[in-house]
Amino acid sequence: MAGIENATNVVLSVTSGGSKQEIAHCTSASLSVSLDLRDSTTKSSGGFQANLGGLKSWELSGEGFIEIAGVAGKADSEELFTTMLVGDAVSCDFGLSGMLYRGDAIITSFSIDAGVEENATYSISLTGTGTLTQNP
Amino acid sequence: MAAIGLETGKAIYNILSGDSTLTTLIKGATNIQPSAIYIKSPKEGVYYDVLGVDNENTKTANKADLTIVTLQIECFMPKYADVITLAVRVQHLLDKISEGTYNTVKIQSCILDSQTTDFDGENKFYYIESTYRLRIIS
Repeated sequence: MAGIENATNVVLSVTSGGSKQEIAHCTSASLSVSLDLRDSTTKSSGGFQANLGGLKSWELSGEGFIEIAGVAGKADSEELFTTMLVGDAVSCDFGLSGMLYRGDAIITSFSIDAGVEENATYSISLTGTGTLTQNP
Repeated sequence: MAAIGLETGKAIYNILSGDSTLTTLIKGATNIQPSAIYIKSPKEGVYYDVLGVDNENTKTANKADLTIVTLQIECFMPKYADVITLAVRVQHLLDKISEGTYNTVKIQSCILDSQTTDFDGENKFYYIESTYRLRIIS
C-alpha cells in the first residue's frame, strides 16, 4: 500500500562475518551525504560568496540492542567490532527495496552503552570510501 | 514467539502464593488477587495490577522479544505494623528476583521502583502501594 514509508523498514546492512547482513536488533539507522564547496568568489561576484561543487562524502550510522549469544543471520555487535578491528572497507546497503543506497565503507566508531535496568545498546558509525550508488 | 507482558500476573501469583510466610500473613493464597482498584471493600491481602506494558520493538520482522512491564502491588492490612511486614515480605520475594521462568512467564529481571503508604479510611485498612518494573522476555 502506498504512503509515507514506515521507518522500521529502512535498515542498515553491513558485510561482516563473511556476508552482508542487517545489523542485529537494530533500533535506528541513518545515512548522511555531503558535498563540499569550492569557493569561487571573484571581484565580480557582487559582494556575495560564490561556490562550485566539490568532493562528495557520505556516512552511515546505526544503533541496536546487544544480545550476548549472537543473532543468527544478522550482523551482531561482536561481528561488527571484529570487522572494525580489521579496518577494511566493507560493502554496505542502506534503505529498502526501491530506495536502496550501496557503497563501501569503513567502520570508524563502535560504542556500547549500558545503564541500570536498561537495554544494553551498541552504536556504529561508518565513513564511505568511493562511490555511493542509488538503487544499484 | 513474543514477550507477553500481560501474562506477568501469572508469574506474580505463582511466586507470592508459593511462599508460606506470605500466605500465613494474609490467611491464605485466596487473598492474592488482581486489580484491587476495582474492589469496593478490599480485604487484607495482596493485589496486583499491570499498569503498563512497553514493547521494545526493533527493525526486525519478528514480534518484540522483550517487554517492560510496570506492575503495582497493593498490600492491605488492618494494622500498620502488619502492612509493613507484608510489603517487606513481597519485596523480599520480588525485588531482584533471579532470572527464570515462573509459571511459563520468563522474567529477566524485576526491581522495586517506588513505594507509598496510605490509609483507607472507609474500610479501615492501611495499605502500601509498591511499583515494580519487570523485563519479560520471550
